[in-house]
Amino acid sequence: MTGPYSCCSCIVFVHSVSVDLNNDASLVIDIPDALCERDKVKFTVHTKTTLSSFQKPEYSVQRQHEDFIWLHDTIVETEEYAGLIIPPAPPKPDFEGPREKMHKLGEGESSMTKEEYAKMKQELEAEYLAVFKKTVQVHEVFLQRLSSHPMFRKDRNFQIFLEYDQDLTVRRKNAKEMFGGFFKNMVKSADEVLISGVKEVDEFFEQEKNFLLDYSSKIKDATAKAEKMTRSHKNVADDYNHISGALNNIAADNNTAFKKHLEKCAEVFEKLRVSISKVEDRMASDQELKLTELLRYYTRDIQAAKDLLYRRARALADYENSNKALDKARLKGKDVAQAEENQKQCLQKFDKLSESGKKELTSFKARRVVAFRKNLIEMTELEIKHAKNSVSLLQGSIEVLKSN
Amino acid sequence: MWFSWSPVAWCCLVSSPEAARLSAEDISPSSNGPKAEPVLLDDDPDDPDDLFAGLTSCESIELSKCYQEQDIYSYTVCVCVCVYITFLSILINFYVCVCMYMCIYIYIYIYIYIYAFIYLYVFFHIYLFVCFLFIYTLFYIIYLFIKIDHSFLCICAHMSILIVINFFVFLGDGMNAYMVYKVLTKTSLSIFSRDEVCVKRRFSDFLGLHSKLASKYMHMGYIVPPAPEKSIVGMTKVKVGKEDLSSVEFVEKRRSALERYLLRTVKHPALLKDPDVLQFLESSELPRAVSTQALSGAGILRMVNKAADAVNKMTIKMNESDAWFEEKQQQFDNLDVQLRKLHASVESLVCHRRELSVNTASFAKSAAMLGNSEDHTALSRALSQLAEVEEKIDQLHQDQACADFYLISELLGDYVRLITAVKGVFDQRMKTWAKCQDAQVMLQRKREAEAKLQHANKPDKLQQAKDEIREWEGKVQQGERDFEQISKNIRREVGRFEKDRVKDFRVVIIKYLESLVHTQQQLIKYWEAFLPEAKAIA
Repeated sequence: MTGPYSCCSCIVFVHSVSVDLNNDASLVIDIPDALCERDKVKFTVHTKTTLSSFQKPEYSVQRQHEDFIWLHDTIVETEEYAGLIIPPAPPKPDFEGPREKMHKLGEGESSMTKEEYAKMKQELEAEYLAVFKKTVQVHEVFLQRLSSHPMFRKDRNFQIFLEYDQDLTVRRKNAKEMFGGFFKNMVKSADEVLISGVKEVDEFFEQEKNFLLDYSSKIKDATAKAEKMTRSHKNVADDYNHISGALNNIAADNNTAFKKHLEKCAEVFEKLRVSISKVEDRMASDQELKLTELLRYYTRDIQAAKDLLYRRARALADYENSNKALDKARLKGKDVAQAEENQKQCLQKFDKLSESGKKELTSFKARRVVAFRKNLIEMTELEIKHAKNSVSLLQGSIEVLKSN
Repeated sequence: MWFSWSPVAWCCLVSSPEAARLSAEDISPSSNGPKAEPVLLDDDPDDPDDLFAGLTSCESIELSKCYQEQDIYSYTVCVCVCVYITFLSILINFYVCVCMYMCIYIYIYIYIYIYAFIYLYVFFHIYLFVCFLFIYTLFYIIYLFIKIDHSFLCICAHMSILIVINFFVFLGDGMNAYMVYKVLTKTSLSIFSRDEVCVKRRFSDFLGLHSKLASKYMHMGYIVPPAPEKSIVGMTKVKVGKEDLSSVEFVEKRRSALERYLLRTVKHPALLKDPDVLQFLESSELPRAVSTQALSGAGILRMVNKAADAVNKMTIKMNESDAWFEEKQQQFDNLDVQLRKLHASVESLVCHRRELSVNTASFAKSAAMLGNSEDHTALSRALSQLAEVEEKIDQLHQDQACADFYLISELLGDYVRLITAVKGVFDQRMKTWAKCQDAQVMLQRKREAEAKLQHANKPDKLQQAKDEIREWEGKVQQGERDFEQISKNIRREVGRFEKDRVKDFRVVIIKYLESLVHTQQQLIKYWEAFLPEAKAIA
């Protein structure tokens, strides 16, 4: 099955894993619509702004996932933002699950009855929609975090991203650059290990480093387990779908003696299908949306915080190196001024990083706590709502069956 | 040691005012199977002989020791306690009287004391005797209640028959070990010699019973419930002595399957009166059913017969005169396919739910660790609470998986096998028809032979031919009668089967939905307990 899928815009909710990021009316960004063509997803980024740095008060541009990645990479590479936690890049849209199902549907088309086929198609569309919602949300949150941060919103590249009418046609990374990127990552992790040996002066940062290292591994683990759990939950919901379908079939063709009795049963089973399988499915997907997404997002965010610490530690190491160089220069009596200049710069950089780093990390913790709270409360409330729903439907069905 | 959670022990409680009508005269003394007359049941849909017309089934959780042993134990306990109290009371009585005597002695003259003492003594004895009489009757009543009630069965007003199976012991050793089951039958039917019987049976005894019943009744068109299947793998694991979860489950599965098998067998009105069944349920010694072993002579014979049957089925082309049978056969074929599909789905559901519970448990652990490393205290507490909630939910999922399995999956497996038995009965009818046709063909041939002989004019051979013709005419008539009979039986049996099936399914589905409701309500409780914790994160 090929061809473009267009998902309608009205259903895209904002379940942000961060706090309300659209508080400030001076720069409001959202993604009202998105188009999916085979592999690529085209997002419509809509901006409303009262800032003078923008030429128009309202923009609406089409962007692809690669454009978001480009934006993220340029911000990372900007020296100025070294002391800030850079919002993590949104993950690539993953339509693997629905695509597999679509494949299976296409293969089994001949062997299934019309109703089964229609039902499976419905299921498939629902799953597709869920993945779609998720990916739109993640991209939206990325932009909103950038817009709500006082420093990032003034970034020139960000403005271009929001304003530029045509396709950004970001040059895809060619092989050399990809390899270079990979190599850089390796160097970075080796560096991290080396730098973690550097003695930390500030107590606050020492604590934060230990906490973040520990927490990041734990949250990665929790995310993986949560994903597995949500997947099994979805399997269970799927099974209920099949079972109720089969029960329907059995109730449908039976001899006339019990026909009336069994017609009522067929009604009940249809209701059961709604109550059991749909509710289980909704429970599973809500759990995924709230809990698993939350954990996934904060895994990435914690990685960004770790990156900040790394940059600061790098600056500290540079500073210490420059100190050593200054001492050496003083000993030798050459290039003293240069070494002094170097050392002053390093110290400045380090101080700036420390100061902004401290602010960022404190606000990060506050943000994290609030996000966890919001999502946990929402997830719990949704679970309770679904369970209550299911109970009332089940009890209704039991009444009907008993009264027969 | 054994898996002590068997959510369903099928017990069959029957309300039947006609139960008293059955008497021992109905059972024919020969064990070749009952004669046609007494056991033949009417076509009447609300069969008066059908014991189980107004069937209501009631499930209960059952695990208790054999009645007889427990009875003696509780009885002796009660008696000892009573005797002890009697002696104690006499002792206390005596001391009390002596004390009173001493007290009064100080104030009044001696001769009056003696009378007073005697009066007091007698009065006290009468009083205490009455008291203890009351206590004795109380104890006796308690004893009676214990006797009836100690296995927590629900009792209906018109209980007719109740069968419960429990484990006993694993006899023998090594690969020759076998499990002995205790079969307890409680009944108020008069065809049974006693109210309560408890016998020990092996799995091969059950199979032997089934093969006997099948050989007697299948060709008459009765649907004989199939026995649980042999499972070499499962049994070997248990024999090897592994006490892990899978072997425990296997034994529990087998026990409940055997219970359901026996209950279905006695539900059938003709089979209940069968002397083999009665012998199985009542007699303490049963001849070892060797013919059920796979490699015995009888086993091989069975396999050969099965192959022959399969070939026959393909070659016999029956011209169906009765549309009802054709329709029914079609229906049962469809039902078979659908039930198998449903069974497969339910099994996959059980598997996935078990997976879900395992994954939830591991997530709970991981969330607990996350909560530990979180430095914000309120959030840390909330995360630990979340971990606890998820652990409880995991347990819930496990229980639900058990319910899924024992309620639905096993029932479906039983019905898949039952439908095979029903199809077998239809095949028997086809075989009877084929026999009838063969007899007719033979008769035709004999008549032709007689006609030929008449022309050839051989008087002695003619007489023989006439005799043969008479014989074959008789056989044809018998064949037709058999065919009529089997068709009638099948109609009635299928009607009964359908009724039972609908009832069974409805009951089980209601039960299953109730278990789902219970699970969801527990979920609500857990999440509602967690909500204030989540809200308390500052």
